[in-house]
Amino acid sequence: MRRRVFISACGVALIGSLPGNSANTDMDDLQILLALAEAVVPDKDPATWQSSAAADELASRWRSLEDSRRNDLKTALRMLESEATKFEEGKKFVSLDKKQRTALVRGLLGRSEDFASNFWQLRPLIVRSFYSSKLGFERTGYRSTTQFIGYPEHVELAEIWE
Amino acid sequence: MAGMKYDAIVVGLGAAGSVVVEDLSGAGWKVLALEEGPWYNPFRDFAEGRAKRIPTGIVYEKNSLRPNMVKAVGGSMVFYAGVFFRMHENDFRTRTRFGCGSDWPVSYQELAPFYKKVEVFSGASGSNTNIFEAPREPYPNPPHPVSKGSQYFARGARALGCHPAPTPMSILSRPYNGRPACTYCTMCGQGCMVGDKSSPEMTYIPAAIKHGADIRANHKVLTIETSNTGRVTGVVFKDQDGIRHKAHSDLVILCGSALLNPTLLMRSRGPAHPEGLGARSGLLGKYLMCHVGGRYMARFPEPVNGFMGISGGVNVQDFYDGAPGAGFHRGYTLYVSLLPGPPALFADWYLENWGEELVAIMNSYNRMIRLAVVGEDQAHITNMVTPDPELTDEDGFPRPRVVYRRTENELNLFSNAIDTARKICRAGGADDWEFFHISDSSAHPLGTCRMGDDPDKSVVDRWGACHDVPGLYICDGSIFPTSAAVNPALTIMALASRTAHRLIRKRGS
Repeated sequence: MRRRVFISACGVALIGSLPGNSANTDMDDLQILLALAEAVVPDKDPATWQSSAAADELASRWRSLEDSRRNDLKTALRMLESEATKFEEGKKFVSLDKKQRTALVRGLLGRSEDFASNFWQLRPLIVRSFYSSKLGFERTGYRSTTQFIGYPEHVELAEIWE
Repeated sequence: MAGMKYDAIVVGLGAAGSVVVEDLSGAGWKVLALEEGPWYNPFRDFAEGRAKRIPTGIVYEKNSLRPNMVKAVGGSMVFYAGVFFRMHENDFRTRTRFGCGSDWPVSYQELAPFYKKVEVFSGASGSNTNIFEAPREPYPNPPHPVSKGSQYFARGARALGCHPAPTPMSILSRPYNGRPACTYCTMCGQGCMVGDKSSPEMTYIPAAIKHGADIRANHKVLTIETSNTGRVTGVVFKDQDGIRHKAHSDLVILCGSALLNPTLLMRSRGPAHPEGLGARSGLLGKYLMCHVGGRYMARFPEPVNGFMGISGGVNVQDFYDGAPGAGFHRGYTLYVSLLPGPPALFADWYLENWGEELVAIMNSYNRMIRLAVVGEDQAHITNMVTPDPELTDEDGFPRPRVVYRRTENELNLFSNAIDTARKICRAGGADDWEFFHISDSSAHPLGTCRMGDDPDKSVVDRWGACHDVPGLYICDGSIFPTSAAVNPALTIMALASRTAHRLIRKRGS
């Protein structure tokens, strides 16, 4: 999984280095989105939003959006990027640490209605990607709905109603 | 089919219509049953998630609650959780005993044999240990296992002096009449693919087919026809290809739901009924009720896996008849219902936070339980279904327009129910995290064709016969004069069975 994401990222980066190629910006947007995901659903494993089923799922959901909707949401990602530069000279959103990202998002939510409106559309995208993945199931203790495994341990199925 | 004559035509095949068509066809009647919605194949459509709900066409006024229903063979029960309460004796006499609402023209004792009949046919699971219910015979099947979450809830309830009991379910707890027991797959809300949930497409409809009933899905009734003297003569309907037909009968039984019955009746004008059918009292469409619905979530110190199993669990009805001085009439039932799963659904529906705050809550997802509140709302004449003045359906008929607003009474009731839920859960060991909300929708639309003895104050009589239209019966949730504080499916079915029984006896005599 990690290898696949790494190779595809290198490929896109190479193609994107050509002048006028939009693949670079698309990849940048995805990287910002994944960095935002780290702030929205911070996981104890720092690599989760770089390479995991949840990251793949988010990338897939992002690419499946209609162009017009994705373009609208991109404005929020661009705002994060430009705000990061103000936050620290020359910095990009992806290179901020977790605390800085959270503070930046919180600040923007308080100041910009446009950002807030897009953020609240991005949040479900991120949350759904994480909490419908195997990793999300593990973190929450959720077990598959398709087969009943049994009630939790320590349950006394006592005939308390008799 | 055009021009064919039937002993009875049943309009709508939900909880009520399915029972009526089975009972009448079982008595040897020639019955035509018309359902506007699709006929799902549970083993194909539910398993593959293909059971898409078709639009109801209902229009909601601004700021109105949004009661809804399902158009399908089996109706809303296809997707319901399976909670199968009887109403209490007091529910039928609220005016006399509590000074609010209206007395039903039917008593609990009159309905009890039909409750039993439906429970036996459906294989209801439960235990007759609920001290608030009238004395009753044992359920055909034992109650479902008690989950950890329900045990916590029951412990807390007992600590407060309440009387928890297992919730009666129309989900099989053991194999019954050729159907399997529940596998606890948690998919009740998306249609039961196992066959253990006793929704009509699994129970009454197959039986009606065996009896020879003529069942038509994707057939929409356009109007109910009447003669010059005002008597019912049949229906005009549209088949799945849009071709119009007429079927004849001197008996039409309307079971189309509280949301759709009024507009069908209003557009069914005839020489003797220029304002539509059942309109004489001026109350057709009025007194819509939806229950006071809501959810409360609490968190316990160890995993309870509230997302597993079935809804229902354990219930508490200690506050069913109200709480004196609390600023509301009547009361509520609390029961343990299934926590939404997978967790993404839970986070989507209920949580609005993000970051560490979100993760902290989600990490305790498997320690949560969710309670359902079902409270009795009062019937207000201003809550109603009327034909929309502008919007029409594909046949050019006005679409049903719903307005339902809660009053202080309903809000006070909900607040009291949440307070009770909180106390019970904390007494059972829950920590101080909680989440609750009052529903802005409802799967329990009731009223709009209310039942009563006085033709000036009701649309149908105690048997469901329309006061002013010979040959027209209505026998679904639309005839409820009050909503009671329990899920209505079983009472709807029992009333329908009682009406069918009456019709069979009447014709026999």
